[in-house]
Amino acid sequence: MSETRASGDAIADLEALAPPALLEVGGLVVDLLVEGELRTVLHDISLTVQPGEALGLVGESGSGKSMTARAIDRLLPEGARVRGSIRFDGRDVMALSGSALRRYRGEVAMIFQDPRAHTNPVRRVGDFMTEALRTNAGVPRHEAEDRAVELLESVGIADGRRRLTQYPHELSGGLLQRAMIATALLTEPRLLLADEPTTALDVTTQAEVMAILDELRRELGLAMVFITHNLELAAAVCDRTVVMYAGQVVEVRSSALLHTDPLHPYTAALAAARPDIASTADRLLAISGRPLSAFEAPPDECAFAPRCPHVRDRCRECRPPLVELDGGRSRCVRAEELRGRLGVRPHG
Amino acid sequence: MFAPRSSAGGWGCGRMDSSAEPVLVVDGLRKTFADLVAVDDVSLRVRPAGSLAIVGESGSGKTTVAKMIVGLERPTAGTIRACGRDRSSPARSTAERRLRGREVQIVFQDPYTSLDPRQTVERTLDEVLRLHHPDLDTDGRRARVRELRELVGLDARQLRALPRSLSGGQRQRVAIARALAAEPRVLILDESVAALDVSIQAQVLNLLADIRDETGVSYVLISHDLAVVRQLTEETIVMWRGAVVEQGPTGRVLDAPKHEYTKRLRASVPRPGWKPGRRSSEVSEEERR
Repeated sequence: MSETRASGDAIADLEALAPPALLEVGGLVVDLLVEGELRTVLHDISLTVQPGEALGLVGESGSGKSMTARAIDRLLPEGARVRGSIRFDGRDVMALSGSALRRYRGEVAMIFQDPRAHTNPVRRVGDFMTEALRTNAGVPRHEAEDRAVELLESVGIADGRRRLTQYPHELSGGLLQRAMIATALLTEPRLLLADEPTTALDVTTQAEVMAILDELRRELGLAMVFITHNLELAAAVCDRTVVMYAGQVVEVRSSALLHTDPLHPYTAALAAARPDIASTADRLLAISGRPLSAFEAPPDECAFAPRCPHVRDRCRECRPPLVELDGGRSRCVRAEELRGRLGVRPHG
Repeated sequence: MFAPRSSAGGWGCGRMDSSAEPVLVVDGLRKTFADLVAVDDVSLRVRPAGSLAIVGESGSGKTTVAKMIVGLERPTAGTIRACGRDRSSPARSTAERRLRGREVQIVFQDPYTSLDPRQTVERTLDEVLRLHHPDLDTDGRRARVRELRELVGLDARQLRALPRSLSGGQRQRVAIARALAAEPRVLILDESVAALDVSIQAQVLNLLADIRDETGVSYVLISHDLAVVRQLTEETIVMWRGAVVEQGPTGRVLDAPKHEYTKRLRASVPRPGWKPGRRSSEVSEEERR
């Protein structure tokens, strides 16, 4: 990009000027115990989230996007082996335990795809909403309920007082998901981990929930990691998007450039495979084969090589590193020569 | 590649020429559950080798319509005719039920729960052939299973596999092959590609287009995904609160929606520069419940 290389000192100055990241994941490797053997599910995940930033985490099933969120929230299953670093606001997340870990989980709140699976059907809405406040922060019930009603209002639920006395089944999916967002906000988090929060909802309800998330984020200066399989949705609502494949980060890109100027052939192929709402394609540009799980990916070649239309012999010689390019990152050995050539072509 | 078995041209009952009568005719269909009107006066036509989408949100009645067409729900009122034969009331005999099975089949959303976990793919297909084509002998069925396998793009090894060792996309191919084994004239696709990964979904959508070209089967696609609707169908009906609020050629409905609900649905699809909108009226409506 620039012809003059900055000196070491200048870089240090720049780093001092840049706001420190709220969340910094570096070289994260996670192995899980599956049927008695350790299997790698995440390989060398590095990402940062700035305060107030919305970061998309996109991938197909098995790509490791949910596992990444679970690792960040320290919610991995027992027997998981974790290497690398996770830092939140300068703190070493891996070293937290007891009350410090509970406090951290208040600062990093999670919302899930299926709110019904994460609520107890025999407990009233008010009960589970205020639980964390009452038990962890010792806030009296009536005070916690007042806060809950306020937050329900902020997610567009006007008669919050009555909702607190209802059971989850009395709320529609969209309404319950909004209540879950309000619940997540009760502990005043600084980072929201949203794992496919709108996937189970109708398209019109999805738009509404996204609008609420967007407004709240801006009002509260809340950062968000938004996990989705929907590239268009991530591109529309996130500042930057991380694309994952086979347990690896393959691309980090400004969302505005994700479709027009992607840096990795997988991102381009994923965008091109989607049908277009504005026109009917003669044939869709399907990606042959199926997505690989992290443990299936060979250690010494590009995980996407078997399905990649741009594959060369050297793609099979080593696992490509994640390299910086044009303000983003790509895990492709041909990234530089393919730059500008991967944007979505019109169908047909 | 895949020759229709019946010499009449096309599968099952009718012929494939476009001047033919609609293969599926639904008139004034209504379904009530207690005092809830789930489906209110729905009428539709599907021509041979045609493809019709039914879109709408959950609770709009679209899946209830599909269930009534296939015979899993009994209409409160209205008529359903497939291949010129009435199927508005339950089949009175086994023979009648099988005949209906050769007219309309359905593929559900979830490839994980719609297959018998103890049966190999081969046996699953063979069972349908025994039921619907008792004239076929062992060799005939084996040849047919191979044709079906090739039609949906599975290999010979996958034929001997149990569903649990197949991927989601492969399982959905099995579900499609099983539905096609009866050689239906109408295939109802109830969110059949919704659960698939994007890269696999494109493969299955291409496959569905090929199958229609080769066999002349008609599709009724139930979907909330308007891009999938655009890709696979020519006609679209939009349902809202049990009733059809808009219908027409798919391109027209999506490019120039007329009804308020269709407009909102179209505006809710994420795209570059999209700003999700809040709709306060709807919220308060639900809250009054």
